[in-house]
Amino acid sequence: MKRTLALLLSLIMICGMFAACGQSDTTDDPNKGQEENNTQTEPGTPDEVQTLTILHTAEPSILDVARFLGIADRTLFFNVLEPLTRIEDGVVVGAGAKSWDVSEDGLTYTFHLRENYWSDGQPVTAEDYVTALKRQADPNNAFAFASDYYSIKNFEAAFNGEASVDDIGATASDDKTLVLELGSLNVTLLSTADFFPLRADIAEKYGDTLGTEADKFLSCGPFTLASWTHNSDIKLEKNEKYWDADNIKLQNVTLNIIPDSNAQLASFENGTLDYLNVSDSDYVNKFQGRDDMSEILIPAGRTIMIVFNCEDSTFSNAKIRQAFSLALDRDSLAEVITNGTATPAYGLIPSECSVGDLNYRENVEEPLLAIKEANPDPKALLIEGMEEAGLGSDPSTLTVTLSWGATTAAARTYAELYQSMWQDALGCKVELEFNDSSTHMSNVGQGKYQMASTSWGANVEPQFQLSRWATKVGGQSRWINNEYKQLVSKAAQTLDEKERLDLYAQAEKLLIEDAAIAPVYFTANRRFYYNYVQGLNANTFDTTGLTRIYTSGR
Amino acid sequence: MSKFILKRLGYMLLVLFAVVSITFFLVHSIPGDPITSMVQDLPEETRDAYLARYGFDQPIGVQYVRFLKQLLAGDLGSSLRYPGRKVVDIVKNYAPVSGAVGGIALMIGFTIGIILGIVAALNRNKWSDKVIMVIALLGTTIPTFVMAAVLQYVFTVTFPIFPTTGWGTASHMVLPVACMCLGPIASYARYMRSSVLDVTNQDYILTAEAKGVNQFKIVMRHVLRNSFLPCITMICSSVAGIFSGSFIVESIFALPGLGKYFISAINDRDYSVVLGLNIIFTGVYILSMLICDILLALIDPRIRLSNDN
Repeated sequence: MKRTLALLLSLIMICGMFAACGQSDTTDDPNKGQEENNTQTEPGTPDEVQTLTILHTAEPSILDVARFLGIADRTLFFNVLEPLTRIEDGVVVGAGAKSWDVSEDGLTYTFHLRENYWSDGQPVTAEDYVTALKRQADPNNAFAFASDYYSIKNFEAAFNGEASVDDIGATASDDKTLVLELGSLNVTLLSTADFFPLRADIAEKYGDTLGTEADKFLSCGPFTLASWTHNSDIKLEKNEKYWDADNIKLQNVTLNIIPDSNAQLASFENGTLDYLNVSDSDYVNKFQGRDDMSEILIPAGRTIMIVFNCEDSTFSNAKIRQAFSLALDRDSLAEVITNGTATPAYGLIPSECSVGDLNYRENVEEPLLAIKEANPDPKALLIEGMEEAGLGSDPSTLTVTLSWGATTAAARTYAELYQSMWQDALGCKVELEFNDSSTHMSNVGQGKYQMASTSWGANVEPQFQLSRWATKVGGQSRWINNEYKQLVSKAAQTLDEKERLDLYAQAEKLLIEDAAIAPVYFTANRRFYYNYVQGLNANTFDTTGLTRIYTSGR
Repeated sequence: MSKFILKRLGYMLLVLFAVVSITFFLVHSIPGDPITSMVQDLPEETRDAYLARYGFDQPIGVQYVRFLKQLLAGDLGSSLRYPGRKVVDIVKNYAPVSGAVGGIALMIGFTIGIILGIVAALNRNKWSDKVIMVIALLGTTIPTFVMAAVLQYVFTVTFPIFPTTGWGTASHMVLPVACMCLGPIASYARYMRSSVLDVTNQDYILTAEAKGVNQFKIVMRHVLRNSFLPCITMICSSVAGIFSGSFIVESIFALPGLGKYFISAINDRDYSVVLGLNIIFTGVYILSMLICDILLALIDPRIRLSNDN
């Protein structure tokens, strides 16, 4: 009896071991057997009752346009507030402003506002947009994204406490006319910065607690904030007073805040969520096999890269950096880490970016391709660089560290992939350092690393991504290049699209040729949705929120 | 009795002060700060403005003194990651959730565990004892996250009976409570079993049997009350843990509880929340230990609270 029990238990344990070894066959063709379009076909008749339940990635920090900290918060603002402009189908269109005039010298923008109302019935006025900007410039609020608004006259000075917030270049000439004065020319202003309104009396009334609860927030966007249960869900209702209410079909939206990825997948699988971005390969296969679900691939407009610390004794030499960049097998990395959804990157700017009507990538070849042709042997390049830097000529004596910003088992696998590529191709020794994301971001920000894995999202125009290396310290790479800075700031002031594109191209070429970074791949999100969801598209940079979505045949 | 309580309260304040001070210096020694953990590549000026607003740019000694002054005034501070939310409000809003789930799980776990333990002990070495011990073993060894993920999948996807995540109705509580009561069932069963076995070997039980008291009365009147004592100590320390919640269960079921908040606060470097919650948890723990000691003294006349014989 005892013997059989012992045998049975050991059998169960052994089976448990094998359960963990399941192979997941990676999909080699993301289009296999699925309808994949950039927009959906056959918009059917909208349902009587229009509701939507989707995932909200994180608990909002605070719903105050001058104090929020998370990108997910900004996504929520596009649904409950009305910015001056939105990006629709990749171009800037009027939203809160029905039209605007730009002066000859490009320094004065005059916005003519549409008729729109707050959820308490008061009209949205130009003064509301001014109030928001003043609060964002107030150093007491420590607005995390203040640098996006530095082109506005005196904004930076006010933020540094050198000027009063009343001096900033934002005035309401009348209830429906807003005038923005820029301190320096910035032709990409409307595609890089968002202007949300904020009521002064509400800010006064709630003070520090403004935006911490649903009843301490006023909406004026396509939806109103009906309720907010912290760390659980956010409920939105259609705003009947919205100027474009006739075109909004959804009546109720529930945003579930679910941090655990297994819980997210379970919620989607049993129909609680109506769509979800899925990266787990087992689930991708499972959902691709379901008839009631469809799939759409949405480019994320994000570049995954390795940054080199140009102040480090080893990586201050450009040839060494370039050698490490060229030694990476980008196709394998994209395939293994993202199951083929990502595209290998040989430049900084992803293919979704455009300059006006011109698509950037279609007009500019990725700089690293040419460099790769010219340098077929990364190891030789490394030896040259080492000799220049006085580090000898034997790569096996070189030890460098890659810093990674996650501590999960998957993260270790990925970092080891990089490590093995470098060690095989270059013959040097690579050590790995893992930290949680906060520590990692802090270390990278302070230059305490040699090579670090990081990523940058883009805006419609290449301006945003390129400007990350035009800062005082030279961005995360600490790469200070005056020619680069001049190119980037000149581009911001160039109205002609072809000229601007050319300046961006020159700047990107400098960045890649000098190997301040090693771009690895451009990410994309695989979104699965139930067939009754209509109106989804693959426009990466659109800020239309949920206004186009509706259900048909739920 | 009252002298005892006062002395213990005095110790409590001392311990709280020590814990708070140590935590303060530990938390401020971790690299990173609340804003760099949230916003990538923050411009230096923004970071400086942020730190200046919350006073983090001052020397650590000055910050410590300011923190103590605030504490004595009764202000536990505001969250940094979620601006505008006071720590006290966070506790008020989230503690009931953790408390409800943890409390109910503990009660169910305790009740079932005790019963299983008694049954196992009284049927020693018979099949019921062995089955219960296997259950107890499984309950202790299966990790919470495995149990939670399995329960969530089976009961919300395969058989969609309960909601996957969220909070609000009774059906939202079933799965989280089920996950959390397995541990207590296991530990109380084992503890109670050994305690009952211990008591049944005592002389006074033999005397009662010799005097002809029936088995049921022996169990009810003598065995239970005496074997209960060690479990009271266990329950008191568990009660303290209820409010700190289970990070894993709260994450998986997306419950707005204090456990997840606390752990996330550490990851987000949200100093005020970490310190504030730490103070509250320590205080609750010490208080529950005090109540436990008083209860024990009341229940068991053999225990003297003070050292005079």
